[in-house]
Parts: sequence; structure tokens; C-alpha cells
Amino acid sequence: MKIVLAFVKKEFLQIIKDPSSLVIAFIIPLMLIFIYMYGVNLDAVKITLGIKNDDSNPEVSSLMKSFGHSKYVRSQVYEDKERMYEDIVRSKIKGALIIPNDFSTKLASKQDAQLLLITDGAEINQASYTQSYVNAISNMWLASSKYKSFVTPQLVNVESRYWYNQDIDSHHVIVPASLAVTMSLIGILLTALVVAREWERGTMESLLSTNIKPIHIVLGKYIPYFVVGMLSLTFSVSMMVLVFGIPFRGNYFVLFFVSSLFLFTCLGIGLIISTLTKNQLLASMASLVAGFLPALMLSGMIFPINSMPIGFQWLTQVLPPRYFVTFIRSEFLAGTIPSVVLLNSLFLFVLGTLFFMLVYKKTARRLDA
Amino acid sequence: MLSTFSRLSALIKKEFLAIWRDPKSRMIIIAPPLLQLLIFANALTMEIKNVDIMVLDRSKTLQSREFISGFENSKWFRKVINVDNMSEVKKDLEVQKIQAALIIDSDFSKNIKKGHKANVQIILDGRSTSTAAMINGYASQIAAQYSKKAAQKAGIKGASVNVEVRNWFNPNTEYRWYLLTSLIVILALVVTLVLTALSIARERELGTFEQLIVGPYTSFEILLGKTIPPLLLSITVVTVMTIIAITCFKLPFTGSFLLFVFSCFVALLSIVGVGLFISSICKNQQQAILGVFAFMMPAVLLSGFISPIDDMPPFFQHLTWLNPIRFFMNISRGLFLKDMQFADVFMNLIPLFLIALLTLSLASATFKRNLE
Repeated sequence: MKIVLAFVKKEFLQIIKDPSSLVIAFIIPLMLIFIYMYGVNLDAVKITLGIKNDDSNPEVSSLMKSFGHSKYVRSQVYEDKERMYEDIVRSKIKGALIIPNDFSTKLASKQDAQLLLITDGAEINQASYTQSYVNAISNMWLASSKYKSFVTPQLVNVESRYWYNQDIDSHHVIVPASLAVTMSLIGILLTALVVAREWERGTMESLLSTNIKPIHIVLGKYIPYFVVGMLSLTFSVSMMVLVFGIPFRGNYFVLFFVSSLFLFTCLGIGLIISTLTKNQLLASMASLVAGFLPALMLSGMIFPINSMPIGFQWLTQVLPPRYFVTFIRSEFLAGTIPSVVLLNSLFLFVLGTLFFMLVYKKTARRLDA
Repeated sequence: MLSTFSRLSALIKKEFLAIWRDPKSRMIIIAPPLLQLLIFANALTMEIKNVDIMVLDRSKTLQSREFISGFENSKWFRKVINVDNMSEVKKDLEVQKIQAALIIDSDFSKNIKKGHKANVQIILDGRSTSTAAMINGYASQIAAQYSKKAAQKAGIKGASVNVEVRNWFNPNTEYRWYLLTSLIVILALVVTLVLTALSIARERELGTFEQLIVGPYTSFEILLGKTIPPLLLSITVVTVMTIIAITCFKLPFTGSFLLFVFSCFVALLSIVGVGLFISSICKNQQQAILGVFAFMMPAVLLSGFISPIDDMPPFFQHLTWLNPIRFFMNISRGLFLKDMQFADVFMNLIPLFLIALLTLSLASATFKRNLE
């Protein structure tokens, strides 16, 4: 135990000596929260729409006004169709709406009237927003226009309730999920780098050639970065809740417990990478590949796992971020749900133990050889 | 005295070997971007499919069943589970077994038959906001279709507005096309940045940087030596990714290929510049990788890939002028999908060129300072 403590102390001294470790633990998480909070918007985004009106009926100008007043649309009126098309190609507008000259006469004679919408399919998310905004705004206009008595009534009215997140504010989901990225950063990237440096400099080899038990060496590497990770977590969570006003409905003890399991798996991955690569350049490349990108792309944080092909859904099951993101979103928004907590922490525990055993085996084998 | 050219080629060779020395390094530089391209391009989508929905039908009539069949027959919903009480809905939504629940009131068919408005409720899981919003949109579409049919049956005739949509540049709205044009850029960024950012920092850490500085090279030559090998490697990686995207994923390429190669060259040069700049201000590799991360995360998140730039607050919008990824993505999307013309490509190349110029001269200033 004394040996482990000595190791931990040495590691801590090293961490404090290089301020960049502290930047990784505190400044980068803060920067990420800030960007996710203000720079990233996954909710209804505002789009720029070009409109060309060929119908001179005054009632139609009220439709133009509806587009102008919508808070989701920045409308821009065009006289020249070709110029509007050019602006789509140049990405100046995301959609081009053409109101044909028979639009109002058709409605007046109780016929279906057409609007033509051209979207910029190269920006696919915005194209689909554009489509649904135009649909919604034109139908809303119709229901209050002078043609409203001719309109086919919308018989079924869908009322939507969003549980756990009434205003479906995506920031309440994605900001907590960013913990998956910061924790992988510390657990995988920082740990892999530090230990790879020891291999590079040969200090790891000399350490292994002493008669210190491998378990002590392994623990000596796990504990310090675990502590740094948990400190960073505490800092991030308090920033989120206290400064950025993200609602937290769960239990802090549960949050810290499951997060520590996630950190445990990350540390395992980081140490495996450093032992395999023994070189900082390769270790950082491998950490980005195995840690950072899966945490961002395959965790369900931005891209839904349910929509992936089944083989890739299985792939996400061996990656720890998936469990952590599922848990953290639920814990923040819905509170502690026993089955969610148990299931996800079980998977994290199993993965973490597996990685720990691998790390131990690798370290122990070097000793025998 | 060696000629400038052969001196330079020796330096470039040495820098190249530093990256490319053994099979392990080669594997770890070339394989991950390609592997990730294959995985992400296949796995990631913003479309919501395979939705499991629960239905609490309190009406239990022909009309309500017909309405529900609209969900059963749509391509978005995988399972439509009938239940009798709210507690089951609550239980399964809580543990995310289902993504939504539909509740039909007992007066549904009475209202429909009379041609009155009938309310249905859809409950969505706010923990996954984009999924929830998407499912809500699907439900409204199904309700609108059903309404139309029901109105016809009830003998109500009337007009409506139909929006006819044409999606230019991507007629079948394939998310993969959008994704691939962005992924190529993001993966190129990761490779290029890691290769360059660690290069000077590694030499500092090992103490070989001083040797390089006191050697017979001018600071411009050192800069060239540090720029060319990673640039060549990342251009190769981008080319291979482009070929994979076009052949395996049938991504169309509508613009000028020559222009694309040239743009990649300028864009990657600007990333190399950022990488070398980071490297020049760092004492060791750990600091350099921190710099990589501190640059890469905002660069990707604020590139317009995840959410559009003109929707960001002004502060972030101004910040994106310094983001090479933003312009690189514009060019990539433009030349792959939109047959972007030279003038428009050029407008995106100017900021890239300026970023390259700025960062590379800052980096080379460090060599000079060290020399003096």
C-alpha cells in the first residue's frame, strides 16, 4: 500500500508540474460546455428562405407576411427566379419558394393549390427543416386566410407532450452528454500519453525490472488519473448546474458512482493503448480513434443508435460511451431510474474489469519476460 | 557545400521517416481514417428509423384502428404495441423500450364521424430531443393523411395547400452524401493535425530540435521540411477517402476534380499551418496534443457540420472565420454535390490561404527566434 501511495504521489507531482494536465481537466471541459451551450443548436434552426411570388392577389401577400413574421424563417423576396436559383447554389438561401400565379384562384375554387419549394439538398438537415416550416406556415396561413371556409378541416389534431424535457431543449441533453467527451479525454488521451511517455523514456521498463508487484504499478497508474477525472467531473457538473442552468433531477451520489465506472473503463482503454503503442504520437492517434471519435459519434449523443444498421448497433455495445450517455441523459432529465442505472453500470463495470485485467496481464507479462 | 535542393530533400526525407518509420506507425496513420470512414458512413444518420411506439386506444373502433394502421404501415415505425393502461406506457417509456406513445381518447370515432376535430395525444421522450421532434413530425404527417381520407369519407370537400418539394443536389435526400462530404474533411483534419502538432514538440522533448536549429538550414527550409511530408501524407489519405466515397458509397462528384485537388492542397496546408503553429508554442507532446484537442473540438463543432453557422450567436459566427474546416467543408460539399464554380471555390480558398499564410509564418518565426 505504501508503494502505491508513493507512486500516486509521484504521478501527482508530475501532473501539477505540467499545467497542461490541469488545462485538460478544467479549461477544456469548460470550453466544451460553452460551445455546446451556445454554439451548437440541434433544435429547430432558423433558415433563410427565398420567395418569389407570381400571384398578384392581395390575399397572397399576407402569406408572404406570414413567412416574414415566422421566427424560424428569415425570408428574402426575389423578383428574378434565376437569381434566386443562383443563391441556392451559392448557399446564400437554403430554400426557394415559388408561389405560382394560379395559387389563389385554385383556392378560391376549392381546389388544391400548389406551392413549389426547392431546397438545398447538399445541406440535408436544413433542407428537411425548410420543408416542414413551409408546410406548417402555409397551413397556418390557410386556416386564418379568407379561404378558411373552403379548407379541408384537419380532423385529427395531434397534441404533443415531451416528457422529461417539456420544451425539448436539446441543450439540456447534449451539455450533460459532453461529459462523455471530457471524461474520455482525461481517462484515455491524457493517461495514454503520460504512460506512453514513460515507455518512450524507458522509465516504465526500469520500473518493471524492479521487484515491485505489477498490481501496485497498475494501481499507481489508475488512481491519480481517476482522481483528476473525478475532480474534473465535479467541476463540470457544478458549472453545468450552477452556472449554465442545466436542470438536474437525479441523485448526485448515483451520478458520481456511474461516472466513476465510466472513468474506470476509460482509464483501462488509455493504459492498453499506451502499452501497445509505447509512443506518444501513436498513442494520441489511437486515443482519438478509440476514445474521442466514438464518444462523439457512436454514443447516441448526436446520432441516434436506434437508426444504425444492426451490426453497428452491436459495435456500439462494446464501446463504453454508449452506456454512459444513455445513463447521463436519463439521470439529468428523468431522475434516477433504477433499471437504467443498474443496466448501464453493469455493462460499464464488466467492460472496465475486462480492460483492467488486460492491463494487469500486459504489465505482469512484461515482468516475466 | 551541398546544394539547397539536396539539403532540403535530405531534411524532408528525415521528417518523412520520423512519421513513416515502421509498419506500426504506418498502420496507425493510414488505417484509422479509412476504417472510420467506412464505419461512420454506414452507421451514422440523422434519420429516425426503427421507432417502437405504444398505443393506448381508448376508442377501440374501426376509425381508431384505421388511424393506428397509418403508423403500422409507415416505414418509420418498427413495432406498434397495443396496451390497456397508462402505467405500462410510463414504465416502458421510462426505460426507453419505446420512443413514443400514442393515446386515443374514447370520443375519437364519434368526433370523426360527425366531421368534428378529434384530439390524439402523442407522448415523446424528451431525453432524445431530435428523435422526439422527428417522431412528432411523422405523427403529424400520418394524422394529416388520415384526416384527408376521413374528410372525404364524411363527404367534406375542400381545398388545401400542397407543397411540392424538389431537393436539388441530393434528390433522394440521402443523409450519407452529406455525411461523407463532411467526414472526409473531419478525418483529414484529425490525421493532419496530429502529425504536424506533435512534430516540433517531439523534437523539443527529445532535444533534437536544437540540433536542427543549429544545423545549416534556414528557418524557411526547416518550415518546408516540416510541412511537405505531412502534407503529402494527408493528401494521399484524402485521395484514398475520396476514391472510397465515390466507388463504395456512390457519392457523386459533380465539380472539377482538378479544382478539388488544388483546394485540398490549400486547405490541408492551412491545417498543417495550424498544427505547426500549435507545435511551435508547445514544450512537449502532451501540450501539443492538448492544443490539437483545443483546436479540433471547436473546429468540428463550429464548422456547420452539426448545426448551421448562420444560426449561431454572432460571437461564434465571427469565430468561424478562423476555422479552416468551415471553408474546407463548403468546398468539399460544393464540388462533390453542387458543381461549384471556380469563382465560388475561390471565395472559400482566400480565407484558407490567409490562415495558412498566418499560421505558417508564425510557426517559422519560432524557428527564427530560436536561431538568433
